[in-house]
Amino acid sequence: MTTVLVADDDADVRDVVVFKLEQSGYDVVVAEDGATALTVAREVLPDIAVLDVMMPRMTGLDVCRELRAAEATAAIPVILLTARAQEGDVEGGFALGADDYLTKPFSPRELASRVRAVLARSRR
Amino acid sequence: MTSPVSPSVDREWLVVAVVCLAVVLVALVVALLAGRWWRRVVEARRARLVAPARPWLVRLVAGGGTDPAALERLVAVDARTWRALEPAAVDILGKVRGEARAAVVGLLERRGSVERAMRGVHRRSAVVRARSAHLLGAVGGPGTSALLVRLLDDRDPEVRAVAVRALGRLADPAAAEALVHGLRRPSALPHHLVMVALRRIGPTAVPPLLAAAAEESDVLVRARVAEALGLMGAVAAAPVLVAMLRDDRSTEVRLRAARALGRIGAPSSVSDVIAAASDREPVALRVTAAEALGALGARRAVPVLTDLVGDPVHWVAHTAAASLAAIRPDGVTALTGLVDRPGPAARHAREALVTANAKTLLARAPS
Repeated sequence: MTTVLVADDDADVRDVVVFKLEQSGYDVVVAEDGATALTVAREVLPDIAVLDVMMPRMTGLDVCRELRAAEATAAIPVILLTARAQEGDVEGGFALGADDYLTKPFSPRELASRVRAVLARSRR
Repeated sequence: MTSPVSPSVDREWLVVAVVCLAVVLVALVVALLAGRWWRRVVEARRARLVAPARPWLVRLVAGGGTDPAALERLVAVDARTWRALEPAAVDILGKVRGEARAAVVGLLERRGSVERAMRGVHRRSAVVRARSAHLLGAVGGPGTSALLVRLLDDRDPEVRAVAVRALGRLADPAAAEALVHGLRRPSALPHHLVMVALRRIGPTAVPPLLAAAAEESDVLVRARVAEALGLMGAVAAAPVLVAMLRDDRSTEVRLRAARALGRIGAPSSVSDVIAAASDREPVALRVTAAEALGALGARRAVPVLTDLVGDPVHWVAHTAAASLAAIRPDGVTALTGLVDRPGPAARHAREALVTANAKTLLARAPS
């Protein structure tokens, strides 16, 4: 089963994303901050990670950088979730190797489609 | 002749005062702890009420209206549970869009929350009016803006602030004029919130701001208008801001116009901003103009800023050096040329180069 790591400190966003992805047939692992997300990613080696940019302890961008830096996690595709006001972070995210991004407020359906598309791309 | 007060009476009064103070202190601590305890009890009760219903709310949002069972379940929850759940539903509205958002709006309408909020803005309780304004700002819909605009004149400052935030959230162009009017009142509306709301409304808010800039006699209002135009990045306002910078009788207005031009980044304003940095102008304006030249990033400003690094006024020289560091590569080259010269200019240049390098390194380093 495809495993998705979802990391967001906002419980509302996290729960909605988890529910949507589980409904779409994915196995979901969750983290409430960046440092935990990195630990979970190293342990579980998910097929894809959905990371909020602004998280306590470690930002989504930092998590992305760390994932890319280690051989075991370098190939995990990353989708960034960013607030509209932080769209400047998107450029930095792509520079760090993020595969896609979504701005908040977000559409759960669109998120599920993006996850599907990025996974399909990474498996090609 | 007054009889002398005995030391024992003095001591008695001292003891009474200390005891009274101790009693007041203990009472305050007890009240504080009781308040905290009560808040915790209320929060725990709310959490208990919300817990069984929240998964249905998450399901409704994630399903984006394709889950009738979740909607019906939420429509059926009892009034007490709904009262506890409603704030969570309103909060979630700002985090999702599209069908997910429409599903929550549909739920709020079915539960009568929107209708209640429309009535609530007329209620006597300021808390109810503020809550209603918050909900209407989150939900939107026909007639909402008009109700919120009316709340800009509310007698309670908190309600007015919530109404401004709600209008900013709606970003309805129809509210632009009323919000600009808010900038023109001396203290009725929090101006920073008005500016944020105008920024969210965007270009539609520019014409009423320009009209206010032309008509307004109050210095502070003209200064606020200049600031708002800069925050909005209103390119169309550049000629008006240039005129403010050039001709306004108030230094404060000219200063904010210079800052706004820097934010907007209009190349046509470079000459006027350069003129505002000359030594005939007040120091505060020169500093802001030097800063704006860095923000404008114009190569044409490099020779002027290079001269200003040698200015006898510390802050003008310091700011000019920082602005040169922001103009790459010409400004950095000019700064490097100043490093070996004798005098304070070299110190400013070195400091600016070190700061710029540190910023670059910090941007690359993990946070």
